[in-house]
Amino acid sequence: MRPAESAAVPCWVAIMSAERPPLRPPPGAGRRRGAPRPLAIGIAIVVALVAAVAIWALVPRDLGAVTVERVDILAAGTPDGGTKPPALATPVRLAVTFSTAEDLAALRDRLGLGYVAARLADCRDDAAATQEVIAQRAGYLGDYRRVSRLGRNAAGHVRYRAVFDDELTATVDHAARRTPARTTPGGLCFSVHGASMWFGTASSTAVPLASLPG
Amino acid sequence: MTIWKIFVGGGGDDWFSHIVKTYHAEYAKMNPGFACRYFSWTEGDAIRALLNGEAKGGHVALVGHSYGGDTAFWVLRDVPNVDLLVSIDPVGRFQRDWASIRADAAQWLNVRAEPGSANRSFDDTIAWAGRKYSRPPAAGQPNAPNYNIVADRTHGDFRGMMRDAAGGVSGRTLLGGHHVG
Repeated sequence: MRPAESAAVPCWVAIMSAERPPLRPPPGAGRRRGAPRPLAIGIAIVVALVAAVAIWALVPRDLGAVTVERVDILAAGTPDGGTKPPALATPVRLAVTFSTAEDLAALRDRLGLGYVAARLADCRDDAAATQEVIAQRAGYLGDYRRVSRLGRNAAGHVRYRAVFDDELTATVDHAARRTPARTTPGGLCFSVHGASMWFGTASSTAVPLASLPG
Repeated sequence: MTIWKIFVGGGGDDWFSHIVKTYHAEYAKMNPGFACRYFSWTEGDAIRALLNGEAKGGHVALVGHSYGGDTAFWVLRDVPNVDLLVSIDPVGRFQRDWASIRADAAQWLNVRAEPGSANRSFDDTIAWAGRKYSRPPAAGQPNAPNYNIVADRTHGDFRGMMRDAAGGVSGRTLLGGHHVG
């Protein structure tokens, strides 16, 4: 910078400051530096609510622990107390007697789930599964009355008996061999599962059925 | 002639509820003589491809629930060779009008869920938010479905709405075959 210029600048600023009134900050300038705008607060609240709903919807809820008391293989022709049409049922079925700390119909209602079902799955392939309705709000799934409530045990837990089709063995030539579900490659896991129409799944602990009858 | 029964599930049917998916699985198992298929509501193009290809010339029944009902309506616009349309409480963001659906549908049964307070659930709130189709024209009015049913049921009660009948006719009876419970 040349010396003349450096001397001129302070003089010009002084003149301008003297002739013009001091500049006022634009409306809202103070809020911008300090408190956030109401719009920003509103957006933040909406984002937080959406996030909360997404978490509520997508995070599976816990249906608690399930205790498997016994497992029985029902031979072809054995009545199971249900209403499933013969065309839909398999000849050989598996009956699982289990208990839970809370009544599952009440739990379904409390969690706002559409249905709660007893579930039998391949322990290594959860997609290979069959289920029977325990309780549901309306006609979401076919309820063939295959889960019966047996009352409470000495510990006060609610006991149920669920009868499953031997669906899982269909992939291992079930039609020819009529093999029971215990031959499922990954072993069988029992659990209780619930869901709503769009949101909310819930699961209990999965119990490997290690002590199947021979 | 092959008899096709095509089921279209609504939002979340694949992920959470499996309402139509399990209905289809049971129906297919009970009726091995029919060619049964299940699609998600997002698979409209796959349904069109099936109807224009393998299912062409066959007798086709198309059943859609919720968003799946809307998908069925839009498929029908492009591929009108569907013999039976069953729409169960359809929901759609970009809806077709009743007159155009009526023009494309040969035989059509529509069920609309209008639950009373005892049957109302969060399903209905979501269906409303997703933009539920209004009541179609009543029987005898122009563009009315052949069978028009209003059900006191929650939106997710697909099986109940398949059973609900008008003059003895329900989605289940029109679909034929062995009935699913």
